[in-house]
Amino acid sequence: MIASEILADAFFNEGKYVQAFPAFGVERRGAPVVAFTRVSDEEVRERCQIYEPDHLIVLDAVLIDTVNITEGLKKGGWIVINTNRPVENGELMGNYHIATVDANQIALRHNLGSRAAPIVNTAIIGAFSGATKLVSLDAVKQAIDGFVPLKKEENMQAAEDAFNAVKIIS
Amino acid sequence: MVEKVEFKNYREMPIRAMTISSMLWNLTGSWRNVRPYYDFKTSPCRLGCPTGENIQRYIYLITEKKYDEAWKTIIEDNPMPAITGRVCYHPCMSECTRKDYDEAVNINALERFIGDQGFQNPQWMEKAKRSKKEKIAVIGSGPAGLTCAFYLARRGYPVTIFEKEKALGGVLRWGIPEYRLPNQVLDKAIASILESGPIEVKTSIKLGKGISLSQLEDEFQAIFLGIGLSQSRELGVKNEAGKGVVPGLEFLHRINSGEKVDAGKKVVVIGGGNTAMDVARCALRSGSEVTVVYRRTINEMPAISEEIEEAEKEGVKLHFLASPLEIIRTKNTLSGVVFQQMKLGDPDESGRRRPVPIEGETFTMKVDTLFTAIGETADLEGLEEKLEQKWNLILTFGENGNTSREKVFAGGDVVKGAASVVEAIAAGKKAAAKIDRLLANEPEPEIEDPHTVGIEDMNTDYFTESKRNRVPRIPQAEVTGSFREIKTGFDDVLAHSEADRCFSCGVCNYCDNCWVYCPDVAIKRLRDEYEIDYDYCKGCLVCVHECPRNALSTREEGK
Amino acid sequence: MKKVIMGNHAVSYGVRASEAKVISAYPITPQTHVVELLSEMCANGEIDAKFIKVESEHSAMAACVGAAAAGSRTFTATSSQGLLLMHEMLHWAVGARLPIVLANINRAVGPPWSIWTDQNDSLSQRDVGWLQIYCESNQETQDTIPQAFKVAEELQMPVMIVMDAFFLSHTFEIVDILEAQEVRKFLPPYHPDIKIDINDPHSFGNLASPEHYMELRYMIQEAMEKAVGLIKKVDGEFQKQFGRGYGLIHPYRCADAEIILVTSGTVASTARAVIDEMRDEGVKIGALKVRVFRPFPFEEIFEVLSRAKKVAVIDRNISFGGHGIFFQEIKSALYGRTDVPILGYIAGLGGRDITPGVIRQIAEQAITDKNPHRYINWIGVKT
Repeated sequence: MIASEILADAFFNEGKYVQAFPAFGVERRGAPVVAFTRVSDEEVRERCQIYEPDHLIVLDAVLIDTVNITEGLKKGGWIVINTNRPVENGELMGNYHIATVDANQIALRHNLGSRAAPIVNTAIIGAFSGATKLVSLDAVKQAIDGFVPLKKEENMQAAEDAFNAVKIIS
Repeated sequence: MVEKVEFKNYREMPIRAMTISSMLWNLTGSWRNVRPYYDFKTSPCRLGCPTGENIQRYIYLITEKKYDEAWKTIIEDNPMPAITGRVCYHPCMSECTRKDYDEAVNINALERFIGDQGFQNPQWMEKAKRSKKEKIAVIGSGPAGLTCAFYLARRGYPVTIFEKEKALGGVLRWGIPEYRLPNQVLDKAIASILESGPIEVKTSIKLGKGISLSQLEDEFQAIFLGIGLSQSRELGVKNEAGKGVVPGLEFLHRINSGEKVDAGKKVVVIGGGNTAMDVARCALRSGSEVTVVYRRTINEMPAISEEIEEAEKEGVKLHFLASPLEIIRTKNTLSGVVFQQMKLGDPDESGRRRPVPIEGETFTMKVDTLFTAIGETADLEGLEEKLEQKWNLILTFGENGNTSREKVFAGGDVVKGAASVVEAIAAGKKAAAKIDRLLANEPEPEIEDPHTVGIEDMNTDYFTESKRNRVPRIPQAEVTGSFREIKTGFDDVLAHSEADRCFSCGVCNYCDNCWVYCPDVAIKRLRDEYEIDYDYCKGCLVCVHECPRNALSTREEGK
Repeated sequence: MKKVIMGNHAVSYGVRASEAKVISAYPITPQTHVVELLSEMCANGEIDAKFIKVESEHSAMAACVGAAAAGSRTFTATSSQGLLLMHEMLHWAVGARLPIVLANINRAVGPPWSIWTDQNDSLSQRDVGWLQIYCESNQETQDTIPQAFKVAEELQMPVMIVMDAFFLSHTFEIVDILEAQEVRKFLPPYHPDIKIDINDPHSFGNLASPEHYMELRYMIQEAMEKAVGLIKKVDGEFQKQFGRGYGLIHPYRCADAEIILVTSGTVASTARAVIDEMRDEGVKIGALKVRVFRPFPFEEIFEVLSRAKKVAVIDRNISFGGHGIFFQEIKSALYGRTDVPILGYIAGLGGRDITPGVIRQIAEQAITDKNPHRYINWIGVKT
């Protein structure tokens, strides 16, 4: 949820119209969560959920095997995955641009969260920026500065590290 | 009632449902069937105080920082708050409503705080001039005598105090050790009493020796006897007379005179009362190892529990269920004491279980000095044939200290036996009032029925739990090495913090709740009081229910 | 200053800018963030208001009634069951003519338990006498709060601002944040002529005999009728100062439309995207957003719809045994003055998503439907 807001704010910093929202429901810590960001050059008028996203950010690689992550995802879009292992799924690689980053390790290096629960929101958005170039690193950092209440510097550095470390697979 | 308004059309009406004109004409008080009224009760602490100090009021005045008024409030009932604030067994605190909520308010410490404030402000004491011709004699200058003298002098009577010792104070000076009541505090308290009015002092004169009761009766229009108990009771055991067996009071007298007393290494104190504790703690401070031997158990000890705790903390050993049987002397010096082992039997008339000897079980202790503190008796020399007595005490009639002789009054320990400072003060105060009525030929006042309140009458929703503020003390390491006063007393901050804990039971302390909550704005807030406007009070009784302290009562209308 | 904030916080910022003096509310999903932020603002001095904690929504409205009667600018927020618990006090606020502003986050009523959006909670309060304004964006929600206070205080009537749960309440959007010193020029401090005053005691909410009751009710209706013009005027003033206006209704590409979709809330916004798509395909279609539901702008709506050949009303609500509630109102606005067929569609109850696809489905169904009296069509019900 926080990642979707930071991403929206980053695009907003570049003059885009944005919208961000969680999958509406009863929130439960630790359960798989989906959140959305809409970006447009014109005012965003659709006020409904997103069923066919252009791009996908996966904060936990476990979900690749447990959830149909590409349901509705438009072909040719980006999938940015937080993982420290190579992605070997041929179908994914055939239809989408894949990028990976070890956001857990980057987050821990900057003391964001714990080993059991690293906080990867800022790193993964940095990686998204690095891989897709759809939004600039500066805009991401500016968004982090505005959104994150604590450890601003560490979070901005994590985004920058991920921006540089992201590996484009296909 | 206002006249009826006819609206020609809706534009003449207010847009909301409301009266056009003021509703003051509507005297809603006529709807009332129950009337609330301010009805201040007597706080339980005050009822618990033998001399009836207006405790709620002086604590309220502390919260208002009106220390002078607080001091004057106490002085109405007790001329020596600095002393009682140190040595009183504070029965007021046993009655404090707050004890049923969290912990009783530390009234004793607040009294001392105000008493000490009085020393710094001698101008608070008003000086009475002689306005009466009748002369009064007060025999004995303990708490009873000093109090009686004070309240008579305040009324303008010339008072002469006769004291057998060189200095005034009686039990306060000779019986209470300095670590509880420093001499300089006592001196200041006595000085302020003596300066309060036409009081003359004659020391080193003993009734029955230098002067007789008949002489006094000729010279004075009233006589108050507050001569206390000055003799230690004897053990009545074999070989008691002789070196090494010392009456506790004599020891205390010497210590309190500033004498250095070496009681030897091993000291045993016989007894379980406050004197026993004082003797033991003084002996400890003189460098001895001290054991108190009591024939019953700690549960039956008459000493104030705080004193027992302090004694134990300081290192006094307590030995229970033993009674001295025989003193062993070798070459005229005390070498040991044989004790009889006791057990508890059936309760006696005081409700305490009686100690019963266990046949054949005895033991011997090596003792250098044995102090006796099993009770004190009065020295009634010179009074034997003139005053009716009972159990070697002066017999009084009624509450005011009247004796078998019209002009002679008595009070304090010489009447009650070993009692307390505050009871002696109460006796002195009552006797003074009675002597005044006698001399002025005034009728007895009607006894009012004091209605009081308890925790069930409080609206405790308005209170929050808090711990009692303890009185600061000197470090424990410095306690036993000297006779320095142990407790250092409250400062302003502690005094306010503690005074704020008072519920002000049954007495308004101007918290404004009634005024705030009255839905009819029928309570007026005046200076230091509220007034109910019965023209408008509907009798909803919100004020009564929201008063945290039950300072309002209700009465059905027409009854 | 523009910021990306959630809808609930847009409400809080609107209240801050309006300098409300008393806020009393009880938390309920999905409204919680509104009062959470306001209580923080009260605590840190960002807003000089008294926050009254209460144990229920009934008490919250009762506290607002008292505070407003004493002459304070007063705000509360609630949702669904909370609004329903307020019901008795909602009547009181109107009868006592108190200018309270309430933000209601539209949430479906249980059972079955639901936290998602539909309009039955606020629409079931239709007849109590509160003005009701339905918003479609976070910006509009924020801007409507000072507007509502201004209208409320001038009319001495309470105003309810309504927004969709989650689609607005939990959605982050760009909002140009209002600042109090700017809004003060638009909405000066509130000093009512009549308020509770212990020095001039009157009886309020007292008994009115049959000879007076109707007049007082007449005046409420008169105020409601006056509100139509006043809301427009106030909105115009707001637009002049801040550059943003919303109107009583918002017609979109309706001038030459043969079919007009009538919508409210966030659906109005989504519908415009569909209108553009279908226009590109050559369909003469328009959309009409009803922003102000009470007072219902009959004339303005008639003006727009009477030119169409067909009207389709999308209701995220239902009056059981009747029809969609907006549908009924639209029908009465047109009754006897035009014979344009009006079709009613029930969609999106309990938070079911109304996507562009759903709106297109409704539009296409309406265009082809030959029956002019199909007043109730359920969209998406699994049958």
